[in-house]
Amino acid sequence: MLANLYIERAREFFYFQYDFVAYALGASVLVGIVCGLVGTFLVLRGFSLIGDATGHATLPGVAGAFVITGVQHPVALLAGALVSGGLGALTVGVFSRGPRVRPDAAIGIVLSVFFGVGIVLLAYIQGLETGRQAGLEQFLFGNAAAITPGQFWGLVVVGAILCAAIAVFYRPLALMTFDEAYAKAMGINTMALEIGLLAALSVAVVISIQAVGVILVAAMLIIPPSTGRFLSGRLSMVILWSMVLGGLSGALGAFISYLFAGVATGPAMVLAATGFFVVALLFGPQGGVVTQSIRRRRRQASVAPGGAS
Amino acid sequence: MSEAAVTVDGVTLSYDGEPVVDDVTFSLPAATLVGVVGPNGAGKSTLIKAMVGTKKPDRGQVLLFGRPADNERGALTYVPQRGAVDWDFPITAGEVVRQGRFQSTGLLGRFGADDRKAVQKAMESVEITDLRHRQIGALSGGQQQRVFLARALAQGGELFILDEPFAGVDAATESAIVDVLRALRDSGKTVVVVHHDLMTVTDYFDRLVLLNRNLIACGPTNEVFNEDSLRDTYGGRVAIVTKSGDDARAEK
Repeated sequence: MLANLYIERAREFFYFQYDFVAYALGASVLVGIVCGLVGTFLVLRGFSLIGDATGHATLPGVAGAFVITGVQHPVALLAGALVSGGLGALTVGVFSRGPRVRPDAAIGIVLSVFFGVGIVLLAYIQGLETGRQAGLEQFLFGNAAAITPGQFWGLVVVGAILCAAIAVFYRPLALMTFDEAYAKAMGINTMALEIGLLAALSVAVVISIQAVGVILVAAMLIIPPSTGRFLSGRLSMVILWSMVLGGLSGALGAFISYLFAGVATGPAMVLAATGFFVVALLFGPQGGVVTQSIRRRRRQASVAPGGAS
Repeated sequence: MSEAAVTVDGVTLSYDGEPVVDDVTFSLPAATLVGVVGPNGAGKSTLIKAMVGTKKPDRGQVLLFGRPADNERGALTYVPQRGAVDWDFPITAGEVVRQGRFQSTGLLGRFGADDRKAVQKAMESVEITDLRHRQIGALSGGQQQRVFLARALAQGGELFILDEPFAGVDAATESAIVDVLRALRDSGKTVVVVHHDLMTVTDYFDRLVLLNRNLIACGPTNEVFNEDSLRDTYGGRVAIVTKSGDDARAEK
């Protein structure tokens, strides 16, 4: 029976019957945590879509690295992703500062041009003898199950360094994100800080694309922080919620993807994150739809005249 | 006389090659309360940006206490326009005021007893202590402006520059802010305020900078605030009704 198959799969997943399940789960959780952290600053700064552009911009790097080296070496592919993703993020940043191109247009241009180049390269690779087995399409939607132990530990190290760097620069980052003019007047080098943030974004995207894919990585940068905003009015708590819910979404995504063969990890993670978002949107203490209407009703009831006393 | 607190020397500032402040020169003595006055688009906020170092002049230079502004960043405290930030940002009033202590704590330094005391004192002086746990979006415009001022007080400094602190605030807040600014001036600080309301100019400020792209006048309020200089500043768009004493009113 079908139900038995799913129960059996769930059991395999939770008992870590296969090693790759543990690494897939770990990588997905890590992606959720790191993206939740970096994403909070992006979302609050109004840079959400730069994450989207950066994610799409990693594709030509992955494909280009394969074309150049001719082998499916993870370090080479991710290095390629870092170069083209970083270039994409920087291009958006530079374009947006000029007077002629507004940020949304800059993002649209970078996203589509880089992604288009990536797709063309993928098509070229498909035509190569070695290309068909390379399985680069899994970078589109993510396949956490393909992550090797070596890659996993690499992600852990890079992710930890990234989190530590953001922790060190937390105060000026928070200051700049809230009030850039004040931060500048204080002598904080906001230009360097912003480049640092874009670099952090690029790194976060690159270590995420194997699990979540280049197309949907933006969702993991945007949805958990947006959820966190409904849950707290303090920056530190928004970040914490974002990381926790990002991690949980990663875990759930890995599980769903394992349960239903053929469902890529990326979409599964995004669905999980969206579930949390909807709950927060309705019931979150900071402006949740239902929460607010209940408060309004209570307030009206408490000031309503003519109550028996 | 001691060194001027602010010296603006032949400063030209432009956007897209279009000068909005053109060859402006003046200096402000220390321990004064100065109003920067002029019509919309006169370049007031742009001039302020050059003073606080967020916009580089095309020509000329700004000196603070006789030294290039970049070297005196620590002496300067800026209160941006209230409209410049996202008030839905997840941050409490208390946290905003604590931001003022960043120069003291640095990246990872402990938020020590001195810092706590400075924050507490700043919040008390503008009466927002009760609001410190509230998310800033839940505050009124006047309360938000008080939070900004408290952050500046917590930061301290010798020169305070405020960009339209009275825009959209209630009367009680306006007079509370004025009291704080006067107290700063009396303790020897220099306070520069971008201001809109000509009615209150003579009441609030010791000195004025009248600006409309060019410098129209700069000096003690009772010397430079007159019909001629105002006509020069506002063009034909102003009618001044001088009632008893120093009550002046501008109409479009």
